[in-house]
Amino acid sequence: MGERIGQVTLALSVALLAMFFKVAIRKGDRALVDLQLFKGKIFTTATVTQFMSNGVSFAGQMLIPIYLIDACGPPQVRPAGYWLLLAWE
Amino acid sequence: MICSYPWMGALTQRFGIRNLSAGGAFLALAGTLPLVWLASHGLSVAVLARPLFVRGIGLSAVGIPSISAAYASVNKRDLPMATTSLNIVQRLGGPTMTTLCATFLGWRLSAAPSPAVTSDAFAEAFGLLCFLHVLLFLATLRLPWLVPDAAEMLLTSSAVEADGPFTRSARQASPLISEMAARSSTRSRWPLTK
Repeated sequence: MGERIGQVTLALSVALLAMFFKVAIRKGDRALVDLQLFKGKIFTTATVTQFMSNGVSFAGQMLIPIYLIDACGPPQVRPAGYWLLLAWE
Repeated sequence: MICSYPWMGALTQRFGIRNLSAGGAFLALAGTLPLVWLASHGLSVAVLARPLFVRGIGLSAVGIPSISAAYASVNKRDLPMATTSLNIVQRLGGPTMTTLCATFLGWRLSAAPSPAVTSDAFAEAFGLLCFLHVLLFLATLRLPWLVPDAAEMLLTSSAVEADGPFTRSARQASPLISEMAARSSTRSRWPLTK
């Protein structure tokens, strides 16, 4: 059940992102978020760097506590640990 | 990050954007690799804490130089849009990579033959994180050497008068800029020109 919800949400978000790009490209200059900026090579590179840097930072913040709770903690703390993680994220 | 942020401005001036970002990304990768070892060999707090500290310093060194490169590369009137776009993309990065790693970990955990061997799944997930760190490192290598604006000013001033007042003051301000100026006057190729 949970897995199905996740898959549907993921598919929906990908579809919405695709729609955003379609609309933004069609509107060009008039778009709310102007994609023209990404024609600049330096700007695009810096944005990709920011994307990746934030990405690895958050992925680490998710993986390390889960590892500590799941693989290193006693079984009793696991549910509490997951809830803490959810609340924190 | 708290320890290293105050130094970032001075370090960016000293080493330049690309060197500092790439160095930071490399440091972050070096701080993430021990996690793979940790997951397969069992927890040791000392082995966990030190690499995490190094990883934090490394990641903090990636952010500020790349943001300044992005803002310096756009026209002043495009700055508000640049702020919005950069913010959106930056915020997309976190959930995207978290979902990727969590999905991968979930898949490996469900593939594990018994709950006792979950450490292998974690080692593989940290391996994926290291791979993402390598991608980050490769991305930083494509950043410009200097803040684009400063380099352009320097290029024109050194082309007009090689020992002009700007170049002289820039030389005093930063050894890196003086090195660049020396290169641009001896060689025609400027590292930033396309």
